[in-house]
Amino acid sequence: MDLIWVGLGGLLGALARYGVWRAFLHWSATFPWGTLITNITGSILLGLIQALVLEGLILSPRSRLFLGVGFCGAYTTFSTFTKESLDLLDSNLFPEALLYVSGTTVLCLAGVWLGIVLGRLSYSLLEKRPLRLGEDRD
Amino acid sequence: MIVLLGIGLGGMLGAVGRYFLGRLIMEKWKGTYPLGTFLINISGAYILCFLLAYLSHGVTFSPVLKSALTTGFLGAYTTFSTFAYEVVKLLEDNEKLTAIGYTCSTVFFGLTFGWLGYLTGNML
Repeated sequence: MDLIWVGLGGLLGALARYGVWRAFLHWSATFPWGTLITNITGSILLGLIQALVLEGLILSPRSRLFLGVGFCGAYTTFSTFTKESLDLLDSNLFPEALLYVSGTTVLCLAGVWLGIVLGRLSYSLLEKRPLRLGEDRD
Repeated sequence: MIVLLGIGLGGMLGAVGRYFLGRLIMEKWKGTYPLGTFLINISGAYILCFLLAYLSHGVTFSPVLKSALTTGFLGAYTTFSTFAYEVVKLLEDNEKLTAIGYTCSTVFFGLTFGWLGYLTGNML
């Protein structure tokens, strides 16, 4: 049963990634904007979903499989990120390669954190509880 | 239209494969280092680069099947959001060294194995 939800999320996630990739194709001939934006937005969404499921229980565990593991997992990608980084290096675009690798890593980590904060914030607003961040969790 | 069908089906199988393999690895592995996602991302990076290099020189291959395998399957099999979430979770649990080690090893070995994929794909 779990596999159906993961698979369905994966199907939609891969198609959404392809759509974003196509939409940003004309932005630059060399810099992979599409994958960068996909990975950042997917990281924000995953942080939000995980916070809502694990902390607030607003979403059911099944929706975590569908949205988190399936959709966000498939919407974001590591293999294409690696391939594009190597292509930038291969084209002797060293500053772009460095910017792409470090930018993706830093912005995705910040994105997850932002998503988690947004999730906890919305939960504490709904429950009228003080917002818990980082180490002041009970 | 048929390309979208291929990408969708590939994405479905890629996500299920990642879920299945990730659970299998994490059942055996008891450490705090997220070995499942690491191995999935590294292997996916290798296979993608190998496949693209191999298919780039004269091998006749259906473009729909190529999109289904690369954009669909391998794109969905590997993941950046789970990797980023695991790093943030390690930082929150005060496992700073593991978080830094996990980030650096994923990026370094991802690029190394992607490059090895290109090398071996071009040799065949």
